[in-house]
Amino acid sequence: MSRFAKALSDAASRLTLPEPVRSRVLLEMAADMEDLHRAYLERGLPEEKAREAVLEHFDLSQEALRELAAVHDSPLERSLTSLSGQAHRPWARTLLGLLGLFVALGTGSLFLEAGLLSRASSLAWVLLAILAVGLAGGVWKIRILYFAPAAVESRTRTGVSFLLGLAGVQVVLGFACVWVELYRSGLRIRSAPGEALIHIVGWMHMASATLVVALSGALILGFLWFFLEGRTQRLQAAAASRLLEADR
Amino acid sequence: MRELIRAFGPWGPIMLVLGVVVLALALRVAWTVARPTRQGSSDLAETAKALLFWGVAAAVLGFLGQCSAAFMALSTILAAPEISAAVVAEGFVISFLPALAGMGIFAFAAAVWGCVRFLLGRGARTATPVLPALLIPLPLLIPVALATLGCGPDGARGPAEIHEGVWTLPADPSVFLWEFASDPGEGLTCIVHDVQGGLKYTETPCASASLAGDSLSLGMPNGTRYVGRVDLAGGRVRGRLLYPGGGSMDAPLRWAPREDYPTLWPAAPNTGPFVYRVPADSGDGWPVAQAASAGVDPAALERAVEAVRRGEAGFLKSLLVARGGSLILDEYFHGYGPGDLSPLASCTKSISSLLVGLAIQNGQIPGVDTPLLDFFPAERAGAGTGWGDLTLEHLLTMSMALDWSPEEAETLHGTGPDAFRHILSRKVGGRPGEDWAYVNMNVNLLAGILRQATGEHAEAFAQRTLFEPLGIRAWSWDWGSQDGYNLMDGSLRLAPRDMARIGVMVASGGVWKGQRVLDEAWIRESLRPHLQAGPGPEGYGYLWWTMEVPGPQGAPLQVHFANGWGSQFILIFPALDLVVVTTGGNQENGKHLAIGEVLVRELLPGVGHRPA
Repeated sequence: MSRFAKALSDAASRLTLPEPVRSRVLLEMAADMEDLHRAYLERGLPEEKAREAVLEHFDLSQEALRELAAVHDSPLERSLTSLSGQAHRPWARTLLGLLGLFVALGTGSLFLEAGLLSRASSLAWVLLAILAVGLAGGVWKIRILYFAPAAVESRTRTGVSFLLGLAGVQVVLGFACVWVELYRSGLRIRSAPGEALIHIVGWMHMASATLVVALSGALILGFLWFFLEGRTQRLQAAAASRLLEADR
Repeated sequence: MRELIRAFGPWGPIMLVLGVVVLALALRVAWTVARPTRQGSSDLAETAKALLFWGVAAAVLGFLGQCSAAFMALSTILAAPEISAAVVAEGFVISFLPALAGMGIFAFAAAVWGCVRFLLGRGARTATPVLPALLIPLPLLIPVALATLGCGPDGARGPAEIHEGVWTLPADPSVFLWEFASDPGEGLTCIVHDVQGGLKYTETPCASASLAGDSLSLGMPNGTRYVGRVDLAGGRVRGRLLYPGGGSMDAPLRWAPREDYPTLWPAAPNTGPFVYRVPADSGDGWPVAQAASAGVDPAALERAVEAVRRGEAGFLKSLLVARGGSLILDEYFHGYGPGDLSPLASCTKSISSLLVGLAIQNGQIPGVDTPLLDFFPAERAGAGTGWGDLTLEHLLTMSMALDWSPEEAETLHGTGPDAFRHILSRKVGGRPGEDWAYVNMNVNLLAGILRQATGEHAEAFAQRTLFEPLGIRAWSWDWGSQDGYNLMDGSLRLAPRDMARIGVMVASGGVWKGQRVLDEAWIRESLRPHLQAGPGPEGYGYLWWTMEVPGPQGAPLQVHFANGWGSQFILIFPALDLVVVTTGGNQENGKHLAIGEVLVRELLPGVGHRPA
């Protein structure tokens, strides 16, 4: 329950945003209000005065809320929200989990049995480093979201979108590797035109191995994002609900 | 259909599940549109978004599946002993299936999503029959898609026995045709024919073949194995090629009647016995003549052609006979014709020798005793031990005695400055002029020698000094060329009639249609056996072979010949004023010399005989 529950509830009723963006905005507003309240207290204002000062400071007019809604309702936000919404149903989460498991096991066996990495471009090590960073970040977020969610309620989402960004970087870098290696194969063919077929086949082999590394890494990070984003939304919805509880 | 599922590999179930999910969501969309629900347009929009999401997931996973399958296919291909464009293409066709399936699911999902967006945009969410009408026929496209992927319904017609008809393995640009035979003495045998552009290219007999129940097992001469299960009723063999290096590849065979591949056999089916006919006059001034008027029994020619048609000479493409300077037989087999250029293989060496004679005749090369290093001033510094003693004659007689290993001598090919430097870097390891050894690579030095001596590359020099005087207008000599230097040990392609022109010119002591082309002394010297060619009966001149065969009356008869692997021959019988040219594809079947037996048994006894 928040000391600003009434004001937040009033704002919530006037916010024209879909969930989970609405909960997210309310949580941010609550966190900012609490920060400001703490600052007033540190300046020596008594509790009630500080609370009134916060409410006076925060512009909760309809126009201000409309602007706030516009900031949080960008096309990117809408797309990400729509995307993450696909994993809300249990069957969808189960299917995504199975697909993630299949990708991890399938490409894992290629890594172990077929020497995938030794055939891929040397730049594939960069892709693996990015995957490692993403997985480490994911584990860190899992620790927060599943074991200490209350500590950072308003900022639970911070860092989750980073995983999606890394997945995008994986894909872009993977294709960049393929083109760089094609150029290098072209140079090799130029110096030995009689061996063009073997160089082209070698490039295709390397390209397929590199793309498997890039795409499987991106998909694993993407699946991780789905689960963390879903967990974040559920936590934020619960926290927003608690914020408004006092007013009900 | 089962082949299609197998070809998908582990990605098949994933694509199937995603396809079912997308189809179920599409049906839900259709149901919602057809029968209004309480949830209204938001439910429809959400379902459409889910549809698009799973469609995109199918496309992405399909692409990952393609990359994985391509990686596995290419790993196998790179482990194989030979890499052919056809095998690479086959691997890629299979690896594309997951991506095609993923894109198909995505396209379907996107189409439905687009329809929903359109309907929602028009506010015509409910009770419109348009979307169901659009969706219901879509499943009907599945058979079309399967047919596009080359998957017809199972149960195609098949033969009663494995040795009826042929079994095909398409692998563009080749179609490999597997022909089985069942002999009480030999058991099951198999020959693999390589057919390109409708014409047979080579034939390779299997080293071993067995059929136990429906389990087929074949061994190839290069160590590759084929194992599969025969489905006679379905006209299929589901099998794999297992390479000696450890890789393997799916290689399903399909049955086809023999009539579908008429060029697989020397003569078209139901062709009657061969009756001698005078060759067609091509109008180029080279006379054709009746065999009898040239002193050759037509029946002997008929017997020889019939023997070829029976397969006694293996896979022969053409048989030409000229006597007294006139062409008297010009017959082709397996669908080949006079316009088809044929790879001469090592007959190219003998023609290269003629080019050296022409350069000497023109004064561009001082003589065969010229030191080889004189032709390679830039490479002289890097020459191996003993090169100072080597002359052009040592090269022409295959007696340079360089220290090549037997494997290098047989398999190394290459031309151009790098190849010349590589050859010159070898040291002399034996007795030049005495130790004969057949080394392909050494002959390629002639490309550098002709360029240095004449200022022209071999092909241009040949065109000016040999081909044009003989009326040869079509040839190909670009395969294996490097920086303009031709491969002199075996890449020239000529029409059989043009090979015969060269044979007739050589047989006439360098004269063609009354005009001297090449010095007679050079011809004599280049055909004369300078050395014994290995342990066999053959002698070796200037890149020409010589041996004795049983003549018309059984007496030894000398024959000089250009000898290209696979039965490419220009045979010159000086005593009979007879030239025989053959081209063939006997590289892999052990029948390279089989035509020689046919000629000795059927043709030579009829030469000189004039019927009453």
